[in-house]
Amino acid sequence: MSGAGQISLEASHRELRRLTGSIDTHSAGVIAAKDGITDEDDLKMVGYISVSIASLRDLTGTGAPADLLSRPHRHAIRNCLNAIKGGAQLLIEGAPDNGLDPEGSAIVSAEAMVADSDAILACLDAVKIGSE
Amino acid sequence: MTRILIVEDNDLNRDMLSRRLTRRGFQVIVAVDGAAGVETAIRERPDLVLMDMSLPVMDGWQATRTIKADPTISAIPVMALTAHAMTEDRERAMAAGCDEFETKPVDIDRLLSKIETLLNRFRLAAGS
Repeated sequence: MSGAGQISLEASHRELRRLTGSIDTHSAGVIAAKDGITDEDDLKMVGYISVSIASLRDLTGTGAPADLLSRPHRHAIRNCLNAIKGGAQLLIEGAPDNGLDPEGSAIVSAEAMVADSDAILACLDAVKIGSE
Repeated sequence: MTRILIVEDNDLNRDMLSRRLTRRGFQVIVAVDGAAGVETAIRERPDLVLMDMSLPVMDGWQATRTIKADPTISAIPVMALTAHAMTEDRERAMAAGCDEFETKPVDIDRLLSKIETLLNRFRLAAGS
C-alpha cells in the first residue's frame, strides 16, 4: 500500500472514531427520554439503539485502520448503522404519537444520530475496497 | 393490501424494517432463515420477498435460487437486502435470481421506490 493510501486509511479510521463518539453522545439524548415514550414498540427501538451503539463502539474504537479493508468488519458496521439509523428514524416518524415532542430535545438528538450515521457511511464508502 | 415477506435473521433489523413497512400500509410476514423463507413463500404467496443474503440454515443466494426454480412461486419478485455492498455482491445476488438489490443501512425512501417499481414491473409482466 502506498504512503498516501495509509494516511487516507488512518484519517478515515480517526474520523470514524470521532463520528462514533458524536453518535454516542447524541444517543444519550434519546436514551434519556425513554421514560417519556408511550409506544411499546418505539420504546424497544431505544434498546436496539443502545445495543447497536455499543457494537459500533467496539467495531470502530478498537483495532487497526486496516480493519476498514475487511469485508466482515465493514458488513458489521453497516448492520450497526442500519439499526441505529432505522431506530432513530422510527422514533422521529412516531412523534408525537409515541409520546415524544416532535420539536423536543430527544427528536433533535435522533435527527443528529441520522446525520451522524450518514456521515459514518460516507466515511466508510470513502475507503474503497474492490468495486464497492 | 400488499404483502411483503422479510427474510432476515437479525432480530433488530427484522423488527425495525417490519415496523417501518407496516407503518406505511404493507402487511408484513417474516422468516428467520433461508429455508423458512422458502417454506413461507410457498405457504403465504407474498407479493414480494425482501431477502437478506447472509442467513443461517440456507443462505439468501440458495433460498433465491430455490424460489426461482419452483414454478409455483418463481413469479414472486425477490429483492436482495444486504450489508454486502460491493458491485460483485450485486452481481452475485442477481445471478442467484434476485430481481433487485438494495443495501443496508436501509434508505427507506429509496427502498419504497424500488418496491413500487418492482411490483409494477411484475404486475405488468403478469398482465401481458
